Amino acid sequence: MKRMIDIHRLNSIKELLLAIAEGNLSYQIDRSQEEDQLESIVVLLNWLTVELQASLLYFSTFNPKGSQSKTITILFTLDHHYKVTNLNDDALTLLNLDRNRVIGKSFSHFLNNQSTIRWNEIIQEIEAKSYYSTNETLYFNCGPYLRKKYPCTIQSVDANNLKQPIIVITSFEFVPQKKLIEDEVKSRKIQAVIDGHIPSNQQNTQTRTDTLPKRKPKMMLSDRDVKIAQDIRDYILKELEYPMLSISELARKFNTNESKVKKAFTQLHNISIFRFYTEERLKRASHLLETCRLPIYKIAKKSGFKNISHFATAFKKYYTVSPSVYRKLYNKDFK
Amino acid sequence: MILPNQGKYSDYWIFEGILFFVYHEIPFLDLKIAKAVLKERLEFQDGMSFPILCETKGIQDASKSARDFLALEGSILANAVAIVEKRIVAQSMIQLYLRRNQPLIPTEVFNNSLEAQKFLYHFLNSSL
Repeated sequence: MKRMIDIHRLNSIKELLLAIAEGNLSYQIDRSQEEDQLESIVVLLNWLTVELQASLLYFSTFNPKGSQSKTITILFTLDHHYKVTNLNDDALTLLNLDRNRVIGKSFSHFLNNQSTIRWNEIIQEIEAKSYYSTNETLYFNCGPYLRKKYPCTIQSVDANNLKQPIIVITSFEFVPQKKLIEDEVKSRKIQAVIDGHIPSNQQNTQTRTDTLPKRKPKMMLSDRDVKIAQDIRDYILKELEYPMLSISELARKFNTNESKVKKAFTQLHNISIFRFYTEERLKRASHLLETCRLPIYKIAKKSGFKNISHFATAFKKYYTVSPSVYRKLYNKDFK
Repeated sequence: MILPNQGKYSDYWIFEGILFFVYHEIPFLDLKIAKAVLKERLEFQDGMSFPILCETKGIQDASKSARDFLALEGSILANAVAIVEKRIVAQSMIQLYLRRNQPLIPTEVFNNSLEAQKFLYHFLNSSL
């Protein structure tokens, strides 16, 4: 039995590595109950995939003046027994099953164990309300080894105009445009061969994608600049309780120049250094206001504000209410 | 005998200047739970900082958003954190968490409570 579990987990690891090699970072491996080194590798791979996905978001602010990705929409409709009544082609591709193997099946059949538990809770929530809508991350089984994570919107459609309520589940995924173009060209080409527009002996000639102008990858920041921007962020967070160094002092500390400090930080974190520093101090203050009974001037000090009126002004600007009102709203000891 | 305070997601108590913090059984620590856990802890500390001994044996897995949140916001009112974890799989998770997230305060993982306390004694003064 143990050996069978090991083979299954090894196959899962192989499948996930292949998916990563293809650039697909949405898959995960379902956890087993084993407590061994192989399971450690499974967990590390799952976590690393998510970390890689997040790291790639760094490039998401980069606008190459041309769409690099397209959204694929996934849609399921369920009846009042929570069985699939319909789904679109992209959802079928996700599940890698024929339509007749999906229609009429319970929706939970396509979820992994963890999401099935959550789905059963959602069913109870749906049944308790006349209208229901929620955003939930669900893991879909994709073949025997891998699962895929999708942020889903789950909505019950009002039963007033229908005999029975229906449930609609939608999600989306970004797919590289290049792959879509290649797929489209490939499928058009096959169709053209079928229709007789291209002789079958020319099937292997270059596709249009091969002749598309090659875009030179444009890097916004060098590795060193990224490192500096990361280090400055960590430094600011560690020193939140103290007055922030000026930009020129930060530049000296990190062996670079002022313009690079500002540019690298803003580009990497999408926020200016000063605003980041202020917002992080305010977030810290809000946690303390919500949870402890310290006087507000002490909270201001613990959050790096020397001057309480400056703190109050900045706080109100960010949270739209004064620190004392915020505390009355969110701290159970002050309600 | 010290009676722990019982929160929804954790038990906690203070002994010899160290805040002991034990997670309940949590199959999947997501961001919502992570925020609730931090709130429970901060309410208990009432504005005072402590070195924290954190037992994670109740946690089976954690989302990235929860890990990122705890690495950043979890440092509030904490001088240092010693994580006590004996499970092989969980130790791997924590190693990745520490290397990737690089928490803002000194954080180390131990497989027994005594070693963890020895580490935390170095951070006692700053809580006074």
